Amino acid sequence: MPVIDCNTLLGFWPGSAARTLTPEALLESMRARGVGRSLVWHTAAVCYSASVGNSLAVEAARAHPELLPVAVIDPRDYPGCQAEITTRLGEGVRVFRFCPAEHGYPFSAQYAPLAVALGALDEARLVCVHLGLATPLGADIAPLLVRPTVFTLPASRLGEIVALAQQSPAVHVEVSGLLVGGAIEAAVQHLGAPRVLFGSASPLMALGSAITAVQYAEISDADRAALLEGNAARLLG
Amino acid sequence: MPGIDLAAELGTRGFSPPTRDRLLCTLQRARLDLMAIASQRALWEDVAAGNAETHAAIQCQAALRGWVVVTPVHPDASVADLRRYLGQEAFLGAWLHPRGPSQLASDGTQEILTAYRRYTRPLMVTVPDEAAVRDLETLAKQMPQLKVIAAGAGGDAWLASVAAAKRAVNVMLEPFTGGCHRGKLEAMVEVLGSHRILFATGFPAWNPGAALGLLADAKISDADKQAILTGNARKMFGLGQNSTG
Repeated sequence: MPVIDCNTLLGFWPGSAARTLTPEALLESMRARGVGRSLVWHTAAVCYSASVGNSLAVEAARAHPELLPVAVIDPRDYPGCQAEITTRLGEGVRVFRFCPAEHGYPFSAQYAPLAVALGALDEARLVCVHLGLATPLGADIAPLLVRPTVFTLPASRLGEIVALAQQSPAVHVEVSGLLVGGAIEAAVQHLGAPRVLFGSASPLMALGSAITAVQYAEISDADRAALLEGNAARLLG
Repeated sequence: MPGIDLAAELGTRGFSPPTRDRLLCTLQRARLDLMAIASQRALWEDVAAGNAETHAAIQCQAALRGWVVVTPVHPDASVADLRRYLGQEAFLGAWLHPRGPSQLASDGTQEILTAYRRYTRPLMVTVPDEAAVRDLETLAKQMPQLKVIAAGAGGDAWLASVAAAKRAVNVMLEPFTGGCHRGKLEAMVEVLGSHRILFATGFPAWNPGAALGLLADAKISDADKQAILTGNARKMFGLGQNSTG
């Protein structure tokens, strides 16, 4: 079974050698590392306009069947974000991404637009969240996580997610922020291997770094296979 | 492929607390043959006690070398430890570790550098961001006879470190502990040449696979990869082929 990468991106990223993150660069990395499918979001959806960026992600995925589009939802744009969800669901998009780290809102039920947006995602397969270093994470979000939710987070916040996971079976993590010695092992130990997925932030970051980090993690081969392949396949259907 | 890891930490912090045994296990698992370590305690708290821990850990361990941690926060203790340890071959040199912004430009750093002039060893400097890159360039130009290793190579500001190293030819870059940015090794090799780049895992702050994967993915020649992984460090520190055993 090929590896599934739950966090890849296209677009433009300032300060990177790979300033332009193209589908070709992503596909080349995927082929070199045996990645069969990637969930892909567009930087324009985070930095400029969710609608514009999401259209670019959908377009890229139509051209390259190995790519599954991820629609970025910005709750600050309420009620426009509701229309965006409806549009993308209508196009067949089934993975949605929230970026509280970049957009500057708490990941909490107390932030009303977020609560409403999450409630509109019944038809989603997967919800992704970039938590970042300082985004407030409220325990009150747990009942709102009705779809499997994959957090991208720095290793320093793993404990917070482990605590949230005790409140909600929807909580999962991907490893692109966990390339710290022992962090992947800790995620597998405290969350259980079925709730840990592979992600790389490729082609901004080297896909090989994330893959090799998983290979070096001191976990069982069965857990490694689930992390790289099986878990995401199960969630995506 | 044999390799030399120039930056790992000894201590108790981290998901996988890096005791000496853990470091040796990590070295073996990553199939590297030599690791240069610094004490977390010296890096973040007590220089003297931490450097003593490093000294104890590398005794009779052919696969381990040490860094004497020096910090502008404690210049007197730092200079005393240079005298105490740098006569020993098992220490590769000093690791200048600022614990906050602007410390590379501080009087404490100047005091340490003045003392370090008498030693002929390279100096490793933690360079986590663009401001530190600027301070490092100033420092390197001030002491052109000193070989300076930029640990982390500016992190996300790695492009600035390439430009600084181009201007200050005594600066070497260790980019692996600054993140896994795709394409940065290729850019560094193109601008500076592979002979100016050194390898480190940064364990336990990084999973060793992150650095090894970054190197493996880089579109540079196998000879360049081997130089980065092993050859450059061997040459810089005078480590023979049998230095580990």
